[in-house]
Amino acid sequence: MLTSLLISFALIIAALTFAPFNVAAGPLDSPGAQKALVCSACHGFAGNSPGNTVPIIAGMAPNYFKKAIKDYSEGKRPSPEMEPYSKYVLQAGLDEVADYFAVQPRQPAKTK
Amino acid sequence: MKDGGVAVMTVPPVAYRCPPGPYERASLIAWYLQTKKAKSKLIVLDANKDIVSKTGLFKAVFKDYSNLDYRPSQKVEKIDVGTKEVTTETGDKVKYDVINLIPPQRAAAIAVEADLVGGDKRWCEVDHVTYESVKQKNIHVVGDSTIGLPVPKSGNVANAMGKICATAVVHLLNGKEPPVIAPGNTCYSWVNDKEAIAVVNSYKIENGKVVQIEQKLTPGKSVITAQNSLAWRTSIWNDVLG
Repeated sequence: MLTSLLISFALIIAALTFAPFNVAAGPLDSPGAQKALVCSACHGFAGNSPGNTVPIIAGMAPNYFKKAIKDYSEGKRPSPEMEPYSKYVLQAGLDEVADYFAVQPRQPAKTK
Repeated sequence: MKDGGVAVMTVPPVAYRCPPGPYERASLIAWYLQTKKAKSKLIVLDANKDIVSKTGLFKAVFKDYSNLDYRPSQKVEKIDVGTKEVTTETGDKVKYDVINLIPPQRAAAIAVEADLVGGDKRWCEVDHVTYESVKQKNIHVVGDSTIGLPVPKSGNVANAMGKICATAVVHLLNGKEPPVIAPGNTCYSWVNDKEAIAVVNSYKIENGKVVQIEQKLTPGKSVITAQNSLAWRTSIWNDVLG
C-alpha cells in the first residue's frame, strides 16, 4: 500500500517536473517576500499581525522599519524576541524586507 | 491523586520533540500541586545529564517549587503499573501515585517505512535549503522528523520549514534555483499561571547549511513574556490554520 502510494506520489512529482509551466508571478515571488516568510509566525501573513502584543508591520514606512530593525539589533530597543530576528533581517537583506512590508495592504485586526 | 501523593514524570533522552516541553510541564504541575495540593510532590526523572533547554531559566524557576524534586541522569528502564513503581537505569526505584511517562521518540512510522530515517532509525537528514531527504530524491521532510540542522524541534521551526520547503519545491518544479532562506525559532514556556520564559534563535545559511546567528533568552520569568506568548499563539495558529 505504502509502496504504491509512494510510486503514485513519485509519478505525480515527475509529471509536474516535466510539465510546461507558464504562470504569472505570485505574491511570494519577490526576494523580500521570501526573506520575510519567517516573520509571519509572529507578525502574520504579509505583516498583518492578529495578535494583541505583536505590531502590524504591513504598510510600515521603510525608513521607520529600517531604524527599528537597527535599534533592535544594537540593543537600543531591548527585546529578546526581536534582537535575534533583527540580525536575521540585516543578514538576509534589510532593504528588500523593508520594501516588501511597505507595499503590503494594512488590514484591520479582529482582536486588537 | 489525593493530597500528599507523589506524581512522577519522565524526560526522554535527546533528541525529542519540543526540548523545553517537559520542563514547562514540570513547572506547571509543580505550580498546580503547590496551589491546590500542598502536601503533594513531583519527581522529575530526566534521562539527560541536565535540563536540555532554557537551562538557567528553568533552574531558577524550579527553585520556586520546593515540591519539585528534579533528578538528572535517571533514564527509566522499567515500569510496574501493578506496584506503581519505576526503575531507572541506575537501579533506583521510585514509587508513584500518578505518572506521566514520556517515551523515547523518533519520526513517524511513515518516515521509517519510506526509508527516510538515518542510521539511528529515528530521524531524517535533509538538505538545509530544500528539505529534500538525503536518502530519497524528490521526497521532502519538514518539522520534528528532521535531524542535523542546529534548530530545536519546535512548532515555530516546523512552521518556517514548511513555508521555506514549499517555496523551494515550487522553484524546483519550475526548473529554478530555490531561494536560500533560513528558519527562525521563537519558543515560549509558561512556568506558572501568569508568567512565562522564552528563547529566540535566528539563523542564516552558510555554504548550504543552517548556521545560528544568535540565541537570546528572556532575563527571567515575566507576565509580559506570557502576554507575548499569547499573541504569538494567535499569530501562528492563524498563520497555519488561516
